[in-house]
Amino acid sequence: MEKRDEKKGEKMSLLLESRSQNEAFARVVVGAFMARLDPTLEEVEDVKTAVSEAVTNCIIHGYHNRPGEISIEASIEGRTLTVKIEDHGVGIEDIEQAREPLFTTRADSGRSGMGFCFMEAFMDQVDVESELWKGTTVTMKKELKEQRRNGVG
Amino acid sequence: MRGMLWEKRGDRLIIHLPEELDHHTSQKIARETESPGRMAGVHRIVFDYTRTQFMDSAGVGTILGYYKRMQKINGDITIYGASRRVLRLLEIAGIHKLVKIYDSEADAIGEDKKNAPSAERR
Repeated sequence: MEKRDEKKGEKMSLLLESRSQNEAFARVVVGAFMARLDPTLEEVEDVKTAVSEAVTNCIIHGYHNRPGEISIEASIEGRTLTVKIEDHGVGIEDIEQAREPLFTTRADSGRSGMGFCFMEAFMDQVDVESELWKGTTVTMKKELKEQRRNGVG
Repeated sequence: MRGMLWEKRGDRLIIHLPEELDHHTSQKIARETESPGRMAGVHRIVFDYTRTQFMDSAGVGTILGYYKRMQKINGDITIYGASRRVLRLLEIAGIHKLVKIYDSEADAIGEDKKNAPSAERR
């Protein structure tokens, strides 16, 4: 019997402009990248939602809806998907406060303050690093369930 | 976004949400539906989720914004056609406590004294 290949050390890297139309693009790219792990539909939706939140935060909070660059890196090690989303924007003054559910500095723009809450709900681990005026990096990990056996080689 | 985004029937404003409901599309929705003209005389906002396949917290923000407006005038918000996933997201955000959830458009629109057929549509 053939041994399944271990998915080790695969990664992708993408630089995007800070524009709201790139939110959908970022979701699709990461969703496509993780397909090689044969995820469930739900796992893909979970990751896409988390990616959408992180990228939107870069656009609205990192760059205040102005031009800027957003980097998206995704990597796979075994069944673990890691997604790192980074901006070189204004940074977060108080990370703990930012992560509080319902906390938002942009209620006027129709923000709900649920971004981090959703990221945490759908990923297994969410780490945030930030430095004022330098930028913010959100690193998220998700352990995908074991591959389903569908009988195809 | 294809198809009509909103329609007014009496004192109901029905918003047909798009396939992807994120920050990008939420901005479009706000631009097209949040005007004094559109909102005049509205006491119930009905969100149609039948087309919606993806939603993130921007969708929550949209509902919250309208919820606050409706609260001020003792109006309410109903939703219909939401997939299991969308309902789950609304639940995580606590929105299920603020809106009434229905399965059909008719139920979501409900009884209305001024319900005129084929009213203003876009």
